Amino acid sequence: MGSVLLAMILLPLVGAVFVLVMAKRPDVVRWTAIVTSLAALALSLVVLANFQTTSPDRLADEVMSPQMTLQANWLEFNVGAEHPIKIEAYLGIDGLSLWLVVLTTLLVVSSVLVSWTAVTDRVAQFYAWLLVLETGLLGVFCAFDLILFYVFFEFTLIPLFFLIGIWGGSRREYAAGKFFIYTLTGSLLSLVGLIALVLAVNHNNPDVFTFSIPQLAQEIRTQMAGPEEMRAFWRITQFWVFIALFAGFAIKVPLFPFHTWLPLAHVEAPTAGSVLLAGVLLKLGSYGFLRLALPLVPHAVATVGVPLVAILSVIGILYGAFCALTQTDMKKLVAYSSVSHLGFCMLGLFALNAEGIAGGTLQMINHGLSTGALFLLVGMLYERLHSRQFDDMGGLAGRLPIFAFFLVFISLSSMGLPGLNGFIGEVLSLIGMFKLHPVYAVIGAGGIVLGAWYLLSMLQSTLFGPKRDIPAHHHLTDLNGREVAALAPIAILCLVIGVFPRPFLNTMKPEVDAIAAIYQQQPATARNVMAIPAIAKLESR
Amino acid sequence: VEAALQSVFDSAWTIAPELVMVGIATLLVLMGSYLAMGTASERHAAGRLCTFISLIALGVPLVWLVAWGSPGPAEPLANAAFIDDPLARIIQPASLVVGLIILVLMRQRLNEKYPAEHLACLVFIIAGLNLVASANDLIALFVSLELVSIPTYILLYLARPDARAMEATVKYFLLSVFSSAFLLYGMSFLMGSGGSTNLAVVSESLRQATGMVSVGMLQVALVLVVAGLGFRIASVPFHFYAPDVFQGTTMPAAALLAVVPKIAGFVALLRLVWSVMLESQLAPDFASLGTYGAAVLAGLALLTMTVGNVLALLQTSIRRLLAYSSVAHAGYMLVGLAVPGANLVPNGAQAVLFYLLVYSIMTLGAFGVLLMIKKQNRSIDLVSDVDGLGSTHPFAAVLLAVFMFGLTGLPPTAGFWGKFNLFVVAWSSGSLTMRLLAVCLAVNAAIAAWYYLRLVKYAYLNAPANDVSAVPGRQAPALYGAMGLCAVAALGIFFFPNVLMSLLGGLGLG
Repeated sequence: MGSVLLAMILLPLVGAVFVLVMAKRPDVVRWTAIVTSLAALALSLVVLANFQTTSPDRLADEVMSPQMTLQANWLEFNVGAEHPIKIEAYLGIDGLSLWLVVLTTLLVVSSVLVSWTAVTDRVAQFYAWLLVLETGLLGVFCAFDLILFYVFFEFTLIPLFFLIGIWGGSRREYAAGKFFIYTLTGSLLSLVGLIALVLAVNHNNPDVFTFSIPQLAQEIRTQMAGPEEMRAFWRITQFWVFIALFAGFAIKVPLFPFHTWLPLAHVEAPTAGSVLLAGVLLKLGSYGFLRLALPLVPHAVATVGVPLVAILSVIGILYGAFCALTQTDMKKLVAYSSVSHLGFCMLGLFALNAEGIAGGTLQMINHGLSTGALFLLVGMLYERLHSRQFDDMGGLAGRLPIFAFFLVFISLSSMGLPGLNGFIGEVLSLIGMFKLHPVYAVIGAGGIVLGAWYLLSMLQSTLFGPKRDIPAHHHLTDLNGREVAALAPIAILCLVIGVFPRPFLNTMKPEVDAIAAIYQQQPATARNVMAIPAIAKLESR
Repeated sequence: VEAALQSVFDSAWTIAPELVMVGIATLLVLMGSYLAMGTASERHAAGRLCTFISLIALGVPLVWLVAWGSPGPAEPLANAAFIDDPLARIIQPASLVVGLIILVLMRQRLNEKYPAEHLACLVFIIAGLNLVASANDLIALFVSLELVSIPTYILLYLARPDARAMEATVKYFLLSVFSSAFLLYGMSFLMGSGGSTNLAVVSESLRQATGMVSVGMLQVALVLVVAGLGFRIASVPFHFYAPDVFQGTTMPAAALLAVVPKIAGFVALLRLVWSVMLESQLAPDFASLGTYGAAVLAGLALLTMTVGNVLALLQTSIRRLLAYSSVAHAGYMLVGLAVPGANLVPNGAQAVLFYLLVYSIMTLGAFGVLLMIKKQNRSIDLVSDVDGLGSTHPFAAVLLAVFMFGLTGLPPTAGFWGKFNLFVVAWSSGSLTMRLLAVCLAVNAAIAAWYYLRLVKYAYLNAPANDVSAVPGRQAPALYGAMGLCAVAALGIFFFPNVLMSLLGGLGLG
């Protein structure tokens, strides 16, 4: 099955090359792009269908157990040394990345559809970069080797730089440059941290000189259980490694004072770029914390990470929400809402218990769906009005009923209405954090109220109120079939996750429990995600 | 004297390819006097003939070395002046490839009056570089380095007959002579301490302290040698000539200056400093030399990369930008050099050489791209000259993007592994200084990203400039082919790093 993963990752790249060959014929280019992205989606569904929730060969105390693995030596350097430095092309998938992969392939399909008429300049290059970006994103989620992870992580900068820089808004060059440099600076420091971690493991146990994430997680766990001087060594090392990882991932998430690149990049990016930026790219940061920081540097996460990240997340939740409240530009509002929503996700992950981690992981998917869809809607409206200012909107519900339906539906999902997806993620995250530090959870919960406030006032100033007599409003046409096709799957998924969260939580349960078990003395099975009353009540409806 | 001469004779077979190259180059110079006259078409034919001869002079040794290895003895004598060791086996073919690429670049701007002299200088320089790679003796090393330097002066002088080129040449000449004096003075201290000009003997005597030599003398030697070679690798504070000379001379000559002296300098530093003075098995009396040397090199590295990058940020001329970027890269490589110890995986020498080769490919590529395009009446100089290249000359723009991302160190280019190796080396050394230096390297790489990205931004995001034209591929197939190969190498080494890593395997372990 590993070859399916590889095919899924490489397929968009092949599509991109084909698109460039066909550059002279925009129609062929568009159809190639949609066929390629649909094929990638189909492959991700094959992966989903073949995914085994309880892997039979999982060992009792294994931290990570990727499935459908594919391993090949990439860089091996062993002359003169007994134990070679070994970097692998190590692909796989597990419960934490499974849904993110599906989310990525789904959002790329929507991005291709929404750009169909919006992008007319250098069409072939646009779709080529979009597909290359998909390869990069899928690669990050399927990488189980530190360096492979990092390579894909950093590689995503290049396609997004061009997407924002060439097809973006009026300040595109500045936005693209700032985004690129900001994230690169952080991730270079992370690279030093990752190397330091591998060398530290090797220092204690010369037999292990690997970059494989599961192997490292296991080895660090063993070493942490060792004698006191070993533990003292790791306490110091983990602190520094965590700081380095934090530099890269906190910028990507983004956490509060590191978020300044985000509103700019989101607003200037073309619709497809914003969708993938908000929907998937920001998840690289939180996924990085989940995949690398939580299992690899547990001590630093528990001591330094929790207060640091929780405080910054809480500030981000409130700050992002207040910023969103004051915006007059619809796209900026959605961009700031991302800062706020990602705060919930981070609160969940850093609750370090099964509820929180499951909630945080689910919140990544939810945010990808709702914010991705919100950016799609903003883009569709912009294509019609050529404006994103609330002053130019109002009373659109009467003129664009289908659009209004989707906007209301997605906004409700984004603000966490029970029965839709946002609710489960936020509640689980907050419950998790409440168990650890009630204060953060209580303050963070205030963000939900603010979220309802700014999203409802957005709905009010765009859709509701009397029809306005603006020339631009007279000849508006409602969403066409292509646009509905871009939105409908996302909306359906929002509803499905909201009503039946169990299958989603079940697939990630073994991995979530394994990570939570690192932080708890009692066996992981004692804490059952499904035993949470809130969920049980929801499902009984 | 007799012993010294004997040691050269002993290694006559080892340096046979270089002797042949020097012979051919001499022949070219002789031919030059007859070729300089004649009509335009005759001069044109003469230029082609000279190019062909240089191609033979560089290509045949390359094929020979790759196919059959060095013609020297299989077990080199330890006291030979030139030896065929792992370092030489890597650098010699690489330097011939570099020479061939520069030949292709020079072909683009061949000096009409003195084609033979022009190309002869190139062959001399590459022969000198090959000799530097195999030199095992202080005097042989110095003479080889001069064989690189002296033709460079002529090349710079011949390149362009205007005042700016003259200024550049004089600047380079004076500073180069000055630095050679430093180097020679440093070598004399080293010889005094080691009791011989032969590096193997010097190394051996540093392992067994005799009590006659104080470590202070070696420290002086180290500082002087590093200062002398610092000029060649363009490290701060010996870098002042670089931007002026790069801007004042022709594009191919600037490409040569960015790559060849850097290879020569780093190879000499590896031979003299890394494997002799920073060695881990130094006698107890000299043990402090290792820490001292590492500190000197680490300080130099920090200074060089930071100053290079910050000044590169301020440039509006591409050539000055590339000059400062070459300064910054010297700083990165000094990080690897400052880590002693051959038993690390990878060790400092391996990391430096990997970086050096990758850097050479990408820098030559960057200069090659600038030769592909032409502003009306002048060659490319300002950063804004590449405006909109992505839509007007897509091929050149793609290559430029690959090389710029490569110099930044982004995946998927070989530059990523270059930086990766340096990080690993600096961190695995275990010293706090080196670890801080690794962090500084990361920050510097991010600063550098800004100005490399700026070129990509101009090429793809700006509106095209009308008066920039490209040299069509039909007229310069060699240039297009060579640049294409450079790009393929820059990307290919990323996906298959083992190809290069395995070549570096035995390095620094003997």
